[in-house]
This record gives sequence, structure tokens and C-alpha cells, in this order.
Amino acid sequence: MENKVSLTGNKLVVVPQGINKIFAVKGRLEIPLQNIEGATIDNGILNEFRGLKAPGTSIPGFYAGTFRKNNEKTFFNIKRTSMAVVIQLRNEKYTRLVLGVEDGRKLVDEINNVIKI
Amino acid sequence: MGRKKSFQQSEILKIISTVFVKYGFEGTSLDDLVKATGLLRGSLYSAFGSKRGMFIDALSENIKQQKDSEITITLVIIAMMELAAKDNTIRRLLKQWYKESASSNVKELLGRAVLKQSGILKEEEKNSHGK
Repeated sequence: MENKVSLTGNKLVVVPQGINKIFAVKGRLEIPLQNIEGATIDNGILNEFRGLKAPGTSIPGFYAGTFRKNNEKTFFNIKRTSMAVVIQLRNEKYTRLVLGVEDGRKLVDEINNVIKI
Repeated sequence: MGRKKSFQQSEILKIISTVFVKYGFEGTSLDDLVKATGLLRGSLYSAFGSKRGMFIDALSENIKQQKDSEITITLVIIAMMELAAKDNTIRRLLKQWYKESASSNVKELLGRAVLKQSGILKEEEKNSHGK
């Protein structure tokens, strides 16, 4: 899978895997739980215009790196064919993360249960 | 400004509620919600955090408006069937709703809503039992 994501203590840790590490231009991301607004399975987000990309690399069928659109920065690291997990953030460099992970449904439920709304 | 925003928010929650009533929680995609509200995907995420956040706000708002309206009961059933077992916040909301509705005949209300939704209970039968 494109990312290893874990909830450890009071943080969400995202580690891009294998070759994605290079294309996503990120070693890892650490997000405190209080900066997470929620998580959603949303495959449709991959059909939308993602915005302008910088930095990162474009390969067909693969979205990796930072995209800017409507004054928002989104971090993508996902294959076109993967189930998309969208994690909405606050007070972070990125407005949201769009990730391909091993078990998207499980991750979404875990995140939504540990955050305070 | 604040007042205008909250007014829009309640209008948007009305639209979101009808989408969830129509397709259920899992069956509703962000594309459905974007299309129905006419808002940008990014605006929906910024306002509610997640699809689950939209559902919680829609459910809470409808419970606040009227505990036993058709739309509230349908959202309650969706929440019970699809979300309550795995979602602590939603289970808490439902418990509270159940507690506060306990005086009215909540079990019959739920049962009738399910029968009606499935087309088994006809409109006239429902009316003859009306409150």
C-alpha cells in the first residue's frame, strides 16, 4: 500500500511506503489528534481536478505530493485505483490528506472514534 | 455574518438530511452531497470535517427540531443499523434520544417507520393509527 498509517498516543503518523516516498517528497507526517476534524472514504475526490502541484512528481495513475486549489493545500499519496481516505485537518500546513492505505474503512472508523467532535 | 452563516448551515443540513434518508450512510457518496448542496467538496469538508460529521450534525439538528418526525426517525434507523455499533458518539446521541423519547411509544414508532419504508405498511393504515 502507498502509506502506513498508525494512531500512536495522541498522534496520527503517516509514512509513505517504498517508491512513493520519493514521489511524495515526504519522509513522514505527524498530526496531533486535536488537529484532525474527521475521516471519510471518498473515491470521488480522485475524479476532481486536484489543483496545481508543487512540489511532487506526476506519474499517470498516481497522485503524490502537494496540490494547491482554492487556497487550500492537499497532500495526496494514492494510486488512482485505491480506496481514498480523506482526512480533514485544522491548524496544519495541509488542509487535508488524501491517502491510499491497507484497510481504509478500519482507519476511518478508528480516526473518527478517537477524535473529539 | 454569523447569523447568515448559521442560517445557511441549517438549510444545508436539510439538504444533507434528505440525501442520507434517500441513500443511507454508506450508500451516500461525497459526490452525492456535493451535487445536492451545490457546494465545493472542500467547503463541505471544511464545514463538517467528514461525511460522518455531516451525518452527526444532520441527525442532531433533526432531533432538535422534532424528536419523532418522519425524517428524524429515518435518520435514527440509519444511525442504528449502520453506525451505532462502531461509533461511540453516535451511540451516545441515540441513547439520549431514546431516553428522551421513552415516554412516547418509541418502539412502535420505529417499527412503523421500517414497515412504511419497506412499502409493507400502507399509507392509510398509518393514518388510521395516527396520533
